This record gives sequence, C-alpha cells and structure tokens, in this order.
Amino acid sequence: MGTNSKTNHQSYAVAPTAAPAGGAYQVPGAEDLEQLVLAMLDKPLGVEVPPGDSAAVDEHLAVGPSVEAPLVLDTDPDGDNSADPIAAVEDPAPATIAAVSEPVEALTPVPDTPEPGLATGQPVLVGGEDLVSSTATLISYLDPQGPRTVLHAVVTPDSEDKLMDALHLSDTKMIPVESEQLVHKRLALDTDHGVFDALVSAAKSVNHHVNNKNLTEGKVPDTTAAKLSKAHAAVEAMVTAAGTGIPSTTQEMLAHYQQQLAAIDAAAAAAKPVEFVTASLHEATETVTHYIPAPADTPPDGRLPAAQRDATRIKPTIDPTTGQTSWDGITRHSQIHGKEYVIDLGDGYSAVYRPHNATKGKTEFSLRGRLELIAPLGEGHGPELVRRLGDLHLTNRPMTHAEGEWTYLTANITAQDLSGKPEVAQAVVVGQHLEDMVRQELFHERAHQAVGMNSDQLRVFAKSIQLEAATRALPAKVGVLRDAVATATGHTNGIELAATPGYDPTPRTSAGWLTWSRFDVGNQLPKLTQKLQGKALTHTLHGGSLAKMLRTGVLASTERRTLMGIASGVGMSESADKNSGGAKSVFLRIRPVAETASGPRLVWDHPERLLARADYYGANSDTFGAINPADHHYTTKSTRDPYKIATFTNPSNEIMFADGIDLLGPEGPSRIICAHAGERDEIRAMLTAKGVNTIAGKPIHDVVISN
Amino acid sequence: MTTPPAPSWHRTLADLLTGKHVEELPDGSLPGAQIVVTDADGTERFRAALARHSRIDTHDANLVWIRPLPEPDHDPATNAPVFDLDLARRRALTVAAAHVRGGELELTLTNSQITRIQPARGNQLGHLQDWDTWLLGLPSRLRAELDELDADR
Repeated sequence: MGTNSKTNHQSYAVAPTAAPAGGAYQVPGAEDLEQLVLAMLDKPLGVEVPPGDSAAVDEHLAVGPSVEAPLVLDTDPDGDNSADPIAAVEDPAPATIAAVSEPVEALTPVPDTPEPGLATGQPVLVGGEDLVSSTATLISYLDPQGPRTVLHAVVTPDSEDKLMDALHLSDTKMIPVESEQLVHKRLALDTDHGVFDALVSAAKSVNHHVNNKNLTEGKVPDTTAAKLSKAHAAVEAMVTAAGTGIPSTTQEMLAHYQQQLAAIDAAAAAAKPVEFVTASLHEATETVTHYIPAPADTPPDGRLPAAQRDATRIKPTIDPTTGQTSWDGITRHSQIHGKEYVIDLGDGYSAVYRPHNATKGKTEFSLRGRLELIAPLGEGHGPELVRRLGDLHLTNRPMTHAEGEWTYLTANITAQDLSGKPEVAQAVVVGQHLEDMVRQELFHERAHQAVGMNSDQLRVFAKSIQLEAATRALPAKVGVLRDAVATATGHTNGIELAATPGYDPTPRTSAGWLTWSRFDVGNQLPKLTQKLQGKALTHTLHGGSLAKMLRTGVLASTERRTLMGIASGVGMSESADKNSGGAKSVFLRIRPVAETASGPRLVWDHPERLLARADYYGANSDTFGAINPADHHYTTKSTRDPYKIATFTNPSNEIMFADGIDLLGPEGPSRIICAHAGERDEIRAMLTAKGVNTIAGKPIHDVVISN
Repeated sequence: MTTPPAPSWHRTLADLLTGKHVEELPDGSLPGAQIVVTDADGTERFRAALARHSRIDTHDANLVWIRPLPEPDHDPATNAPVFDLDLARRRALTVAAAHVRGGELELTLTNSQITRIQPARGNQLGHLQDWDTWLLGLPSRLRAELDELDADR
C-alpha cells in the first residue's frame, strides 16, 4: 500500500458514466467487490435492483425505440433470467486492466508514432472516464537520436485513487543520474559582484523618474544617483577583480557591462529612458544531476516503484522557423508549486503524475491531475503508451463508438444546460443501475472462478468484472440517455433526435485536441447565423506574434502551449490561474464587424462556425473571478448559450474555447489581418511552403491580408 | 472614432500605477499599484500587481484597460524574471462608480464587484519590480505596444 494511497471505497468503474444524481447508491469499490466475491463463494448472488428503482429502470428502457435496441432485463431474482443482459448486448468487447481491447471499433486510431516534431501532437480518445474529456495527446518530440513520444493527459479526481493504488511510494529510493548539458549563463565574476543586478536597478530608477517627470536634465533624484553610484562601484570592483591577462569571454563581458553603464549614464544625463539592459551570457557545459526512482526488485503487491519530488513541467523547445518541437527527455521547468510522483513503468517507460489530493492547495491549479507517460527513444511506441495506462490502473483502450456517443451526449448536456432536466438526471441514474445489474450478473456467472484466489487475484478479478460490465452495459446506457436528451430537447425519442442533421456523435480533430459539436446549433444554424449578422469573433495580437503563431497553426491555451514548448508554463499560481478564467482555454471577443478592420488580428466573420462547438462559455464583460461554470470557484454569471453570446456588446466580453482553435483547419479564421504588407507576404510564403493553400475553404490570399 | 474624454478618476488611477507621488521605498523598490477585487459580499476574488499603464476604451469611457501581473518565471541562466503575455494579458474594468478614499481608488464595477487600486505591497510589489526588470530586456517597439493595451496576446 502506498503511503498516500486511499483505498477505502475506491471505484473502478470505467464506462463513461456520469456522476449519479442525488439519491443514487454507491457503486461498490474494489474492496467491497472482494467481499462480494467472497460472499458469493458461500451464497449464490442474484441480480438485484436497489429498492424502488426497478420500476424506474423498466420505465426508462421503455421510453420509445432507440437506435440501438435497449437492453431487455428480467429483474426477477427468482426467475430464470432468460433475457440475459449479458447476452443481449451485441459483441461485447472484453476489457481488462492489463491489456488493450481489440481496436477494431476505435473511434480515434492510436498512431504508432505521431508525426515527429508536430507541436500540437495527435489526440486520442481513451475509453472510460479516467481522463478528462477522455482524451490523451501523443506528442513525438524531436531528439537527435530519434523521436521521443510522450502521452499527455489529465486524470480525473475520481480516478486518482485507482492510480495511487498502483504505486509503491518511496521517499528515499531516489538515485542521482548525471548528464552533461549545454547552458548559457552569467560568469561568476558578474554574479559575484552583482553587476547585472546593479545596472538593472539603476536603469529602472532612471526610467521610473523620467516617466514621472521628476528626473530632468541636470537634476537626478538622490535615490537614482545612489543606484547609479552602486552600479559604477559594481563594475569597477569587477574590473579590479578580473585583473590582467583575462580570457576573451571575460573581456567581452566587461565590455558589455561598461557599454551598458555608459548608456544608462547618458540616459540619466539627457533625462531620457534607458532603452534596454541585458545580461552578458556565455556558453558553458554543466553537469546536471537528476534524480530518478531507484529500481525496485519486487515492489510489494506488484505495484510500481514511485517517488515523490518537487513538481516540474516538461520543457520542450520550439523551432521558431519550422514550428517543430524538441525535447531531450531531461530538461524540465523547476520552481513549480507542489509535488509530483515519478514512476518507473519498466522497459524504459516512465510516468510523472501531479496529484489532485495529496498536495491540495499547493500544487498549481492547472497542473493537478496532469499525467505524462514517457516512452523510450524511438518510433512505434504510441499504442504501447496507451496500453501502459493500464499499469496505472487506468482504462487503457481506445474509445469505442458507443462511448463516443455517450461523451457526445454528455458534452451536449453540459453545453445546453440539460443536467437539471428530470428526465436527463433520471437517465443517468438508470444507466448506473443498468451497469450494476450487468456486473452482478457477471458475478453470478463467474463466482466459481474466484475459488482459491488470494487477495491480489481477487482484486484483479473484481476489476476485470467491473470493466467488462461497464463495456457491456454501455450501448443500453447510451440508448437511455439519448432518449432522455431527446425528450428534454423537444424531440419525440432518440431515433428522431439521431436523425436530425445536427446530431453528429463524431469528434472533430482540431489540431492536437478533439471537439464535439452541439446539435441544437447544428439543427438551427440559419437562426443563429441571422442572430450573428454584423458580428465577428476576434482576437488581437502584438506585432510579430502572428507569424510565430501560424507556424504552429494554432491559437492554443497556455497549458497546450506549455506542452508544445512555446509558453514558459509558469507563473500560474493557483490564484492567478483560477482568476484568469483558465489557462486551459483561449478567448475570443465578439465585436461588430466594423471594429475588426485593423491588425494584427484574427477574425471569424461567421462566428457560428465556432459556436457550433460544445466546449465554450462566455461573459459579457471581464469578470474578476473564475467564469468557467465548471470551476468550483465559479461565482459569476456566464453563459454557454450562443444566442446570448450573440448579444454581447461590452468591448471586454470574452468567449472561452477549451484547448484552442486550429487556425489552418475548418475552424480557421475568415481573415488574418497583418500589421503590414511585409508580415502578410512572409506569412503567405510560410503557409505556401507548408502546403497550406486554403484556410476554411478560402484561398490564403483572401484570408491573409494587411491593413 | 474619437476616444471619449477620460473620466476624472483616470488621473488618480494613472498616478497610482506609476507611483508618481511616492518616494522610492527604503529597500530600493519603485512604488506602483495593485488591484484587489471583492464581491459585493466582501469575498476577495482577485489580487495582483498592476503594470504601469492603463487606457480608457475607444468606445466606452467607463471601461478602462489595465494589465494585472502574475507571478513571473525566472530565466535559469540569469535568474532574471520572465513574464508570459498570455498570463499578463490586458484586462478590463467596467466602472459604475468611483471614489478616492485614503489614497486608494475604489471602483464599483457594473457587475457589482468592488475594485480597490492601492499602493502595491508584499508579493505584488515584488512582481511589479520584476515586471520593470523584464521590460528592460524587451525591444522598444514591443514596450510601446504593451503600453497601448490594444492586443489580447
């Protein structure tokens, strides 16, 4: 048992089941299941429905015909259960903890090797609800010795206990590993005398007083004069300490700082701002020590050796010319708030996990639950990385089509605010009961297999039954939920809803992530288009940012940019992150088209193209406090209703889109307005070189324009 | 379109941001401002240092753009602070009422939140010093763009 494990009442349910509504009974945890299994050895267990719920189950199974035939259940515990719920589900795909199911019906294929260097990576839908949005992103970072593939995902809080239960934690079994790294750093002569710092202090003081107009020609405030004096003293002390016969690197450094000091003096004398102060950096090779978990011969109970350390973030770099991302497998951002677990998966595979619970309140908000699975160097590790999720007790098979529809319906329930509708809430409960019944039926059928098992074997046995029950019950659960959503949105039944043109339970790949559509928008697109007449979505940029952004092809959230190697990924203390509206989203503003003519700027003249997504929310003014309705800090008014968003008028309105927007795909902007013709031509040439000739159906010459 | 005339409280805001009427602090820090936002019930929702610029919106005289500063990263080579403009992005205050109280500017926002612009202190003062340091390493063109508070990133 790991030191931070929580095993009481843990759940191993893996189907995309929504949280039970109030009053629903708890799904038995693994230890409960052990007891059940043990009890079953003495006493046969019949199929049971929680008191008072069997009628609800029958009622919901009877709600109209479904596209997929609903599961027919005979819940009479004394009957012969001729309508076997297990047999009633067509072609159930067995799922196990340790093996990937047949990927035949995978909704998104798992690539052997994602395109090396592709900064956005390749998204994969993983079955179950262990990962946020059931999504993992595979990125193959470039490395001189071959691609290095990493699976990035966020584990849901509810699944954390399962993951922790897979670990054998040791705070002491870390071993140092040294490596040589090329670094750029200040010389000791500089740092010892605080030269750069003294120059910065003096320059800032000059600028402060020049801007406040109390530093004028011939009149320097005493505080500024003191800082200038200190800067001179630091430079002189450094020169003295350097002596004679100094190496060229030191000579360069001395000249650099003497030149900058002279510039500061000149600015102070002329009462003008100091243009810049930069540090003198020199290339050096350093031995860097990293700590990894010591190999454990036989971790108890077959668990994985793991150790806790200060939190880090992967630190890739991005080539500003090609937009390709690289990582050496070692370099990480440090000085991150919180702790993380580094896990040895064996065979050169490793994982890093930042827990939700163990350091609650300390780990950076956006890092909580973030998981990295790192493959050894080389190609072809994509499927194995997904499989290795199972080593962490997480669902490790690609998402099936049925699960995809469940996720689609869930996304639409959130987007259309349907969770409070009685029929939808009850469908969620009924779905859970369906799964419970299938699970108990499996117990009944297989109880004899548990004879003679030890506790570990019983745990695996229990988990495998839960996994299989989740898989087998899913088609029926989807049918129940589809019918409920149909009723809640004014359709006769699920069949009628599924036949509407806007109903599309297929995820769309948008750069390195996946998006789902809203069927309410898809079914009434002309109405929304009319409401949005004269409005555009827009995002303004600083000069020079456009070309950099378009090299990667995405307007990406801070979290995504960190994985790509663009953002530093730091500075996201909990307060800053939760109050910013989220580092996991990008924002656009809705403005009259007439106000979107100047650049640099991205403009979507048909906002309905983006408002057909199911993952946005917006507020009509900048609000200090989380505006994400899914955030537990949420306190203020925001909306997911595209018709309300269409009426936003405040210039500071924000519409937040999860992960980001693929700028070169079907969601691409109508206009990319450059600051000047030179930038426009540069971007056109760059896109042409990348083979991008159209964006969202328009030739790039019509999209990429200048003021 | 002509920018509407700035409301009278904007001068107070600008002076707080630039630390205009305050001496350099004993530790050498340069004075400036921080923002503290509370809900109508007094619950604090937001606290951050503020960059030294602000701008009244082109279309709305009661909307002022500002730039709250997050905690910076530090360059491992120089230990110099580094800001991510995605995080240090412009934000807006839509002002319903303004009062100057004891050297602070109290703004009631249209969403009923209360915003206090006050002299920066503690961690916020440190972040502001870091921001000033980071600006010294930027091209003057980008510094000018930041002052305009016109770009989202």
